[in-house]
Amino acid sequence: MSGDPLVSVRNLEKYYPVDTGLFSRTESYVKAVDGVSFDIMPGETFAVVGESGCGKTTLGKTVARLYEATGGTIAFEGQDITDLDGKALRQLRRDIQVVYQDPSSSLNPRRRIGAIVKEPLAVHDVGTKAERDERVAELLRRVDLPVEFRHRYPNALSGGQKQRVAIARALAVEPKFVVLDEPTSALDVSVQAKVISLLDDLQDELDLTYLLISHDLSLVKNVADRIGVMYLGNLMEVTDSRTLFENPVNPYTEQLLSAIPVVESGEQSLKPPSVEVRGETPDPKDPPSGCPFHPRCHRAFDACDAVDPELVEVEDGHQTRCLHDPGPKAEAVAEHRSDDVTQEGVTED
Amino acid sequence: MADPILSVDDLSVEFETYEGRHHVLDGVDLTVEEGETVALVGETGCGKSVTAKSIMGTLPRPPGEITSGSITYDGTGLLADADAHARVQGEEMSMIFQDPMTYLSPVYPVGSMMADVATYSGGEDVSWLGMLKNLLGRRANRGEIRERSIELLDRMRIPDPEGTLDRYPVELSGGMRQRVIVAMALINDPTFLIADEPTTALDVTVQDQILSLLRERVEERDLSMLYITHNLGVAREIADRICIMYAGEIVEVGTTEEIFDAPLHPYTRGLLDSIPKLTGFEGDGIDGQIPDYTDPPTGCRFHPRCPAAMAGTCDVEPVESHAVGDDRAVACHLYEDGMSFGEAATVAEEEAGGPTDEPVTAEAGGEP
Amino acid sequence: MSNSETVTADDPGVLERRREDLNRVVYRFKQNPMSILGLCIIFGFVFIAIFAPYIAPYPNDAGYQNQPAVHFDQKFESPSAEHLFGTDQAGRDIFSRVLFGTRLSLRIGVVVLAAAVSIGVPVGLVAGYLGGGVGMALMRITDVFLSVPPLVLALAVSVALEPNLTNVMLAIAAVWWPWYARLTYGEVLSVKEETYVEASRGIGATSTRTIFREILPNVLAPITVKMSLDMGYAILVAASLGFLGLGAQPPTPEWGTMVSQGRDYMPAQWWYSTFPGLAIFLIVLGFNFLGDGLRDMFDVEVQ
Repeated sequence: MSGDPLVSVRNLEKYYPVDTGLFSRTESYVKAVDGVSFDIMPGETFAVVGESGCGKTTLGKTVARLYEATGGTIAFEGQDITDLDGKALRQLRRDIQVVYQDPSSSLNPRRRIGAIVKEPLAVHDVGTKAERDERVAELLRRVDLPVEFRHRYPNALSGGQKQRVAIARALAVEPKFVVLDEPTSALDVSVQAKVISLLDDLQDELDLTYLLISHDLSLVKNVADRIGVMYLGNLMEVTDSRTLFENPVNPYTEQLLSAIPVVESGEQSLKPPSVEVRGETPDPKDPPSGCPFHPRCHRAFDACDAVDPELVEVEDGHQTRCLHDPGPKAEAVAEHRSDDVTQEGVTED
Repeated sequence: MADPILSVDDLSVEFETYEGRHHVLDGVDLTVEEGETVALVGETGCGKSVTAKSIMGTLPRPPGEITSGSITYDGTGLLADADAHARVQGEEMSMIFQDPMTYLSPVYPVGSMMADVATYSGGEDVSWLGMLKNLLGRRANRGEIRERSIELLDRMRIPDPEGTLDRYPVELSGGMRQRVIVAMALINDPTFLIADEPTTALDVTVQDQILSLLRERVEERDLSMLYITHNLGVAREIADRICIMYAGEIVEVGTTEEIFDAPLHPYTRGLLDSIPKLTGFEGDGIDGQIPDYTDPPTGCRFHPRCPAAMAGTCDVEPVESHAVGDDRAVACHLYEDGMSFGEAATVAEEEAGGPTDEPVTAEAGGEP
Repeated sequence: MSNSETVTADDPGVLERRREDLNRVVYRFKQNPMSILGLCIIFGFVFIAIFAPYIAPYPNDAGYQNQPAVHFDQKFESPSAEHLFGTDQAGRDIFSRVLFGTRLSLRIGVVVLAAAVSIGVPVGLVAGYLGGGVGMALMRITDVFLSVPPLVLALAVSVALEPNLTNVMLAIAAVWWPWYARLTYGEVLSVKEETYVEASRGIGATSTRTIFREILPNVLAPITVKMSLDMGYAILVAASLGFLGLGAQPPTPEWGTMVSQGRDYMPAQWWYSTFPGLAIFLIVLGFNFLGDGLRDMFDVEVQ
């Protein structure tokens, strides 16, 4: 891949303070996003997959500047946007838009579809009133909705139609970058496919760059160019979508892939060898020591509960966060191994 | 073959609301053999939960009304005899719900709820004194129930089952709660389980674990199960046989392999195509949306969305279920006169070439 | 504008759909027959208020057109065809005075609620949306007002000021707005969490725009319900103050004042207090029924 990234995220952190007790003064945090770095190239779809509570939605919304980052930087077209505020931030909204998970809640039930789609144009004072009306009609047509829907309220629409409205709204101000936060997970499969192919067409046509947040690996495989697998606020593995499914190196990815229910016999052969899936995401208020995944990991060894791995590159464009590929943490791992010589996981690599 | 343990015949259910009468279920036929797991698969609003509620006898009436049909469980007609229904529901059936938190009370520990289920279900009368004693924790067979609960939780692979009994639902994770629900459903040794989307709210890794536990339990005790889901992948994991439901009608029935290897009904095929797969994803979904139940399409209810709809047939003649081989049925005009899949596919292709691909129109109403 | 014409042209069903929306509202409203009764009562009173000069047999007895009339020769006549509700100590027709009292009562209700809403709702909106220190401060001030019994506070205000109709309304509004602030605040807190509010920020809308375009329309339903329930109470409080001599002063045909004056002549001249009292009872009942109906219709919870 060449050229400059459109979006560049470095060591992004989003911590939420939690009340540890009524009289306790000790500060405690939920590390929803805990030092995440990635680049998104222009025209690319970068997907972040993970289970509920892994921080993927927080990551997406922090990148879109809906939430304030507590650490790290976000650069958009080379410009640091982490601390933009006021007018500059509102201007940035023209370039970065978000499509939310549940269209029933992202559309104001008391406003008509026309007003909802027109809102970004009104906010940014684009065109005359007649031009805006014309643009709304054009947008509705573009997302395959009849123009007369503009007079309806969201409740009169089905889930898929509502999500089309949300997409039309996001595209109204011609953004360059769109964060898609689980855009189809609230929809039925037969509708989901339509929305996905619409998003795909729009990307080609309008030269959009997507950050796709999803929990559905099968979906992501077909839509994304590159994928980041997230667990407890950390990216565990980042690579292109083909490699992720053919040659996953992180144990968490292996478990995720094993757990996908498939519908075609051909699919089974495309999954890496099944591993035992165990445990559940721990309470993010009280994450495990060392590698966050080690209590559930089928390949954990003695160093895993003590040393926190870093995301390291194992081959070109393929990063993993696992002590089996320790990178700069090799020394720390070696130290722990010398303490105790039971090394279960070593042979597997 | 022996009689099925559960059979639903020609079940029709209507709902009375402001918009008018919703003809939700339209002649649903469904059988579950002893020891078999049948998955009822359909999308939002297709009537699968209404079917389950009718079987469990928990359909709210009014506004719901069963206008025709019968439900037979192990030779007993349930709809005609409310007492028998209550007895069967209490003693032989158990239900597993989608959202554990609406089923578990936040103010009782898990053990107390399990004990209540063990004591009260089955519909026997419990005296006031007995109830008071139970409330005070002086249940007659307290030790025995506790032991059974611990054993069940242990089988559901809940770590520290004894400690879990004294915990409150909020202290458990989503996956653990769902395990508790399954354990609770099994405590009275039911012979028939109805599972209503029990893994929909869970992560894939947790779903995978619950499904294999459920499968283990069902096999071990030779339970019969009706598993309701919108996820074909899940249905494939758990079911022996699959019924595909669309707009209040069962459109296709077949064994799991048959449904996935050679789907017959255009809706089933569209549904399968819509699912993103690891092998690729070229599906365009299905045009249109679920019809308005106050005025369902005439003829086949799927015809306005069907790529293979035959004008003059599908929109006029009511569709009947055609048997295709053993245990296989499809409700589609393409398969009349014993037409094979190959022939039907040709007809379908010819029809699909025509101008059937209408855009979404304003007339297509929202989901009810 | 030409554009809006094309809009109606390409969608002739707009009016029809609006009518359908209306039908649906009417249907849900009708589910509760009491609300229909309430609505009829309110319409009745509004009708009376508007056409009082034409309905009332002796408008001047109620001080109409500043031509107060007294007929001492007709004092304390019991109800008859000529004087439906009888006459008072100055020989004035009580029926006419009760009819004119409707105007006053409705005016009190409307003015009080308008004042209470226009203070309370903005306070609640700002406190709820901004939260933090500002929200806290505003809500604590509100709590201070709420901690004083309303009638006592209203009494204090109207005693401190000169007792007359304007001050009564002022006094009641002063004790009423905190309830609207509290209600709005609670509603805003929940609406604020909806994704469309976040989406509005994501579009680049200013806070003011978000509050007025996205939040306000979604908190109006419970406020409307509370208003219709409160109309009755506001009228009742005004009547109570009138009864205590702190509201409208005689000879203003205010119901509470009339009940109070009639008290001296009970039970012999029972009609003097009874008919204004019945009017108060009816109007409060009507607004309560209506409020209940609206609540069912909007399906909202009101404290």
